[in-house]
Amino acid sequence: MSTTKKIYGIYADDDDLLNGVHACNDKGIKINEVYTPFPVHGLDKALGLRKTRISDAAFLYAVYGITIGTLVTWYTMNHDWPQNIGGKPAFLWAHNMPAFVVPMFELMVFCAAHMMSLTFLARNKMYPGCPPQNPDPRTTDDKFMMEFVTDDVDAVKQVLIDTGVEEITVKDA
Amino acid sequence: MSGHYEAPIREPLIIGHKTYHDISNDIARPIEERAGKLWWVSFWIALTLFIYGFGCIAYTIGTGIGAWGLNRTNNWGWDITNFVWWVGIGHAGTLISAVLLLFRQRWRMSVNRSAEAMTIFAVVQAAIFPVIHMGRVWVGYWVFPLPNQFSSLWTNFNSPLLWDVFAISTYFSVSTVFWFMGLIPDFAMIRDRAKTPWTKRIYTFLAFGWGGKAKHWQRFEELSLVLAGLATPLVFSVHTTVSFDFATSVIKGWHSTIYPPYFVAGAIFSGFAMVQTLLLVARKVCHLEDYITMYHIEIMNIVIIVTGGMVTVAYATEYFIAWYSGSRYEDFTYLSPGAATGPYWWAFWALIICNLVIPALFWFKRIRTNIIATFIIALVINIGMWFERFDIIVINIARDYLPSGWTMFKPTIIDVGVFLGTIGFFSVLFLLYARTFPVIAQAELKTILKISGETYKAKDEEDEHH
Amino acid sequence: MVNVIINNEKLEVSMASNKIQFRSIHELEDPTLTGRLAQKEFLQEIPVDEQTGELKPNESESTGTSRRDFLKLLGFSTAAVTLAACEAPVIKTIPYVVKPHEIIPGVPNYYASTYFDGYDFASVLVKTREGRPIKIEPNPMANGLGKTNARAQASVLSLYDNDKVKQPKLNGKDETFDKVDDFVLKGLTDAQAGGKRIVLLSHSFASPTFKKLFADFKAKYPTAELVTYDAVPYSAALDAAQEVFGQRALPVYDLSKTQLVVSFQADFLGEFNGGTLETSYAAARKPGPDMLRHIQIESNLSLTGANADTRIKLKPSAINKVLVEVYNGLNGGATSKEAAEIVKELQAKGSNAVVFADGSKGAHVLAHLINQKLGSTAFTGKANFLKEFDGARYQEFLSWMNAGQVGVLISNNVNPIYSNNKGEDFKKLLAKVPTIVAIADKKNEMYKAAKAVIPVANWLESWGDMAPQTGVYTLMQPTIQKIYKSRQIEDSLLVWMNGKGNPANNYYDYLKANAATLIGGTTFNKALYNGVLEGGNTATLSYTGGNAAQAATELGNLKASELELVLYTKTSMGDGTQANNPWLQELPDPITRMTWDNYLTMSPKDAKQLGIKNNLNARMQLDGSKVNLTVNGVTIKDVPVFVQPGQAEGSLGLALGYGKKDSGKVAETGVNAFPLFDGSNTVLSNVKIEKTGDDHEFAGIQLQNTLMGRYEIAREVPLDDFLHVKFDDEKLGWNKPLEYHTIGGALPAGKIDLWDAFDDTDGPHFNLSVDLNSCTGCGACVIACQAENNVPVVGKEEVRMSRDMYWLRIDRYYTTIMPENLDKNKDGKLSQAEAVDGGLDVPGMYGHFLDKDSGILNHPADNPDVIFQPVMCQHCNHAPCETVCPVAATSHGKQGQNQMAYNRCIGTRYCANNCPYKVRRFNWFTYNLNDKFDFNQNNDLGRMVLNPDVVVRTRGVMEKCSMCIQMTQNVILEAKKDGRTVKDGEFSTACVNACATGAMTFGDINDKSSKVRELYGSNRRYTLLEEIGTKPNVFYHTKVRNRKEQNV
Repeated sequence: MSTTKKIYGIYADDDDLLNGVHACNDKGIKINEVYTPFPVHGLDKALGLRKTRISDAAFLYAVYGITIGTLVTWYTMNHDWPQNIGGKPAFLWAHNMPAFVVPMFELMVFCAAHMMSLTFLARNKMYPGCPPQNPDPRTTDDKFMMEFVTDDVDAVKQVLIDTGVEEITVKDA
Repeated sequence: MSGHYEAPIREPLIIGHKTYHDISNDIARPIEERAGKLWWVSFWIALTLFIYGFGCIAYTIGTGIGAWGLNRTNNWGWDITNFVWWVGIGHAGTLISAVLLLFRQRWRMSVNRSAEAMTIFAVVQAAIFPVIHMGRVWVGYWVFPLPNQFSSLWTNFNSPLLWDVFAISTYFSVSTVFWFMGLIPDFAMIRDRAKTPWTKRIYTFLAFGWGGKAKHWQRFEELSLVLAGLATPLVFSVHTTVSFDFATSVIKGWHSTIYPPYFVAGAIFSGFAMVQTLLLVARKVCHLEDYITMYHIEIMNIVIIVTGGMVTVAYATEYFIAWYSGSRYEDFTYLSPGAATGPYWWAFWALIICNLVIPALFWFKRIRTNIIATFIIALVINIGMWFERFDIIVINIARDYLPSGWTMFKPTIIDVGVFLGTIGFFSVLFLLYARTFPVIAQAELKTILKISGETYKAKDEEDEHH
Repeated sequence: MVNVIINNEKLEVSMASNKIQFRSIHELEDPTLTGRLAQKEFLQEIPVDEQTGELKPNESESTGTSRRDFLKLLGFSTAAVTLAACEAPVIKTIPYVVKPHEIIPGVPNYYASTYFDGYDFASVLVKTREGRPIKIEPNPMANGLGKTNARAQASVLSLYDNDKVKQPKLNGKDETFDKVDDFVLKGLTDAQAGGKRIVLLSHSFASPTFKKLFADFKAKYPTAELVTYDAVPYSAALDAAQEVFGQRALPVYDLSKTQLVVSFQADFLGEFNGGTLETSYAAARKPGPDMLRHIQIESNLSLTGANADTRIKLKPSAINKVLVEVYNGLNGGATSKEAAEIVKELQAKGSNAVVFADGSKGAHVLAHLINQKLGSTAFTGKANFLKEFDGARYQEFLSWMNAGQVGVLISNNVNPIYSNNKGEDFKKLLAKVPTIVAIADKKNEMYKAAKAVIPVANWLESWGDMAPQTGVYTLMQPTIQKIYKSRQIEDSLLVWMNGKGNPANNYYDYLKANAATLIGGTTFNKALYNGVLEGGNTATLSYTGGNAAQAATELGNLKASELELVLYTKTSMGDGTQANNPWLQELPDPITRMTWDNYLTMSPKDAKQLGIKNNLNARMQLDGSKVNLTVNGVTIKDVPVFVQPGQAEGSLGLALGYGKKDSGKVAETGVNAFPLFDGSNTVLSNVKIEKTGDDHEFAGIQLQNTLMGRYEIAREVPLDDFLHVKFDDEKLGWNKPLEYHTIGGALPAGKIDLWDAFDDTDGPHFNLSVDLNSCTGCGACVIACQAENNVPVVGKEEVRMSRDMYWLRIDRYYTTIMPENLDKNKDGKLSQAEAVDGGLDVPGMYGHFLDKDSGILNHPADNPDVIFQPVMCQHCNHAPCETVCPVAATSHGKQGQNQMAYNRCIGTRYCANNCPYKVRRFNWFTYNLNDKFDFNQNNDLGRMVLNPDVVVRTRGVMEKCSMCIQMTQNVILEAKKDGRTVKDGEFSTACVNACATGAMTFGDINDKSSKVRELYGSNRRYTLLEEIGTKPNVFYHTKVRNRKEQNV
């Protein structure tokens, strides 16, 4: 049987939470997860989270979208069945392109926005009807919670108390 | 921290001594309480209109477009007027949440949720018209470049109407996604305080299991930022594209290079007017005076003044060009000496009075900080912007190149019914929204409580004194 | 002929029976292949039964169902489903059991015949498809007489009229011909025995063989009399002819060499002396030094007056005066100033001038005498025999009836009860006739009065011949089996003459026999093939008398009064014979542009005085006051008043032929003016009107009457400028090519192009030329287009919603300021001041909101010039409509057509909005098989007129002129079959074929030698709205007005 425990420290204020995080960092205590009702500024830095890359993904999706746009317009208007429509040049995509700017742009935005959102959900493992990921319902209201998985319960407790924690729960991991 | 400071001279965006919990309570109240009499009355009225309107639509599709007052010269009338009007209204929302987010305008947080909701509902109304105005709705899906048994039968990407199809559908779906993503943390909040099992189940479903983990918040903010970045050009592109329907044609009065910027300005103008109209009601009904403050109202009135100014300039240009071109055809465009005295003089003057004269009152602080005045003027602007579209579409083609073709458009009872129907539909959606959705982005709002909340501002000042 | 066919069929069948057809080359090698294949559709059997039947477990192996079988079945069902999903409705067609020899499905047959319905005459070609006449085309061999006006074009629809009498009747009950004949024969013998008269009351009928037949009939029944009665009888003209030429035949004129025509009330481009002169008129008006000059003195603004170079509007009594003065002037007498002007011009032109007059006998006489005096060369000496009415004889006939001397009255498709001011008296007199036989086509008053009724056989169902003109003989042949139980009068006469069941009772044989004596050498079949040839009546006319003094006094007898009335016949309706023809009822009047109505035309001044209102409603349609009209004691109630610019003050106009009761649903519109018409004088004095207070709803096609100063749309130029000023002259140019001012300096609009143009130089590229100078606005092309392209009739209410469906319309503009009056420095652009002077008070023009009265109609000057402009799809090479269609339902053809794919259209109507010419028409409703639109397309019979080569459009799609692509494609395919290139003139369209004045020319612009290409080079050519850069394939030619200053 292991002595590993799960510790939940609940703060009433985001500034206290940040202090707590810094304290833990100083003490070299590893924070497993932090739950907050709103994005607390500086928290990600304090926790040393890496910059997220979903915006890079979004760029790729945009490129994908505009490529689709280009291909569709070229295939339907200039390749598969070019027609004389109002005398507009129909045999070379490059000549006909000005008429395609809008749909191409829209397709780009469409792909980027939707696929990025899907990526967001996927990376967060979120889906319709997914059970709540926060251990304590109050964390979506006004409480700020730190989660530790550790053997050294007392050390953690100490740091939390020092930084004005409101409530501490200890569970078997 | 730097993010925690805001100049004390700025008025607080959140009035009253609120805690985080108070905010949650305030936002959740409308959802948890039972609906009041006022809500039910307006809901039933809206629903009646909605049903009547869809009766009219069914009749039109059953008998033919002839059910409307159109004719061989005026092939568009109220249908496209209403379409452009609704699309225009559907602009403020995404603009507020996207553009203002990029500009880090904090005041947007109290209003963007509802503004976006309004946007989406308005676009739904707008989308109805291009569909039902088709002579053969049942083959309407041909506007999509679908592979077909004739293999080479494709859409015509040269057509502004097709551009519209892409622009409107993209705008609608992207706004919806943007809006919904923002809603997730708030749904989670409602979920976590829900009492009855059913509400719990519903909001659990909607909340996608959101837990507010640090990493998720990081991604969330990134997502909002990028979506805002994408939505901003989208907002401008949509009404630009709508304006192409006219600007790329050869009909005098339509064929005008000024249209894209002028349409966008007009759209924001009418959009904000509609936001005012709705928020002033929502604010009262849902008791959100502390979050939607006089400051919010005034700042939006200022936006109205600015965009209204742009529209005015556009009108002046149109009128000037109509005269300066010396073209006998331009003499009869919707903004021309001809229109001012012609058979549609009433529409012309309705436009001028509602869009130029009356909104000018907002230059006076006493008026733009007066709730009743704001409400009335906002309504007037909505009417005025409807007339603008009516003038553009009807007057120009009613008096086009060959005088032999001149006719005039008069709506039938069906035309009116369809229009009222969309208003009813819109109201139904908004009323339901106000009762079931967190009408303010509380998660975001909590981030600025310490910056712009009344209590904390006061504290900050004390600190300075010592 | 019938026998011949049967022989041929037999022939066909016998030949077909011993023919072997090989389906493929393999079959040829192995003839048994078919047999084997026939036994099995699939080389491997499909165990369908096992598939469908229940499969017991572990039996599935034994059924031998293989994957391939399953796939086959799958393929089957998929195919079936796909077919079932097709949108096209399944229409049952019944194949020929024995195919008639001369009919090839899909290939039209043309038969030469003669259009004569008792009023109009034309030698025509009848286009039939699968045995149905569907189109009337002019007969090129009959030049002058071969032209088809709107009524001739529309007459094919009257054949399929669903409201006709469909059955012989006896005492109001359906009966067989047998019984009816018994009744008639009894009546005839009784009359014969009782020494009573047998009267055949017929419309004018210039058929030699009919005349002979009646002579034979008279031989059998000596008391038989032929009495002519016409609704619009031309009796004044005929009486005058009697006096001047000594015979009751109308003179035929030829204007092609004439240089001046002065017309007093004579509508010689409409109906005058039993025909129109438009063809030779247009020929004489080719712009040039000796271009025909046309002065019109009239009260109503007639089609002819609309084409005049100088039009003087006077009330009838005043016109009579002027006419007399002109006559005196030419004979050295004293004249008024106006008359002197005219005399001067007449004398200057001498024998190259001609004078026409109409309205009364005196007018005609004086005109004849003037022409005699001038030695006018327009007078050919030929005679027109189409009109035979004799007032005296008719009066005599009435006296017979009154005296009870008439035992049998056979009325041949005439209805004096409706079409006569003595109609009621006539009805009373009928009581005195024991046996009345009505040969009627409608359940009208005569039908009701008659005991026995025989349905009229339409001219397309009848044999016959006509001698319309000196030295011209035409034949009429049936192009379809009789649709109803009808019988042409000649067959009836034969039966009543020879008795029933006599083998001689066959008018075809009778005609053939008699024709032989008239057609000289040619065989009957040859004559039938041509339809027209020399022969028939050869009498000619020469001046033998004429009493000027008497004529003058007669003219004087029309006392001037406050208001005077001129009765006229409309271009669309004529005497009302085809009143139940929806095409004609909806055809807008060329001048007023109103449909489905007749009305009292009144001058704006009088209207203001009498408080008559013509206001535009919110849909820009007209609401007009109604009045009760009283002339010499006769009152017509609720006559709508139409305020007509160009109507002479103190004069009114009213069209005959409307307000028919019991003649079909469509005919019941307008008011009946015949009660005012004494059969002779069309000008009436002593007219009273009183407002009834309620309004009439007009349905108009065009409500904006003036060009709004946009003179470049319908261009005109005075002859002098045309002759002496270069068209592109820097200052005075009258047809300057449009230039864009660019950075690179001024460039001709034609040269500027955003993109490289598509290459359309190989193969035909169609262009259509429209000459505004030759277009008289007669509307024949409009009906021709409607007939060729299955254009639906929408009815009065929809026209009032401005939803007419015409692919081709003829715009009519009142131009008040002549180009020569414009400040040339502004290259024809109007200053506000000029506009107002010209009566084009610009804001008021489209209704000033401060001045409710200022309808559209107040503003054209009192006596405007009129210009007609046919507008159809301009088939732009840079078509705005094509660009905007989201589904590419309309795109450009290599031959220059702007093509419309109806079944791809989703009906956004964007194309119609973006069309600067507004030629696109939308199907607002379902116009066929829809009781809301109960016209010809709503009954099986009426739909027989539809052209199978053109689809009937469904609700919700856009349609428009296709440049008759079905015709041009046919020409190309024919040429391909013969392996030759298409000759110029082969390509044509319905409108071009129908045009009697050659105003339209169609052809291949890539063909160096084509006429249209030559016309393209003309200095009068311009394209409509060139500045938009649509590059149309239709171009126009500037109208030339032959006059010095604005008014004489």
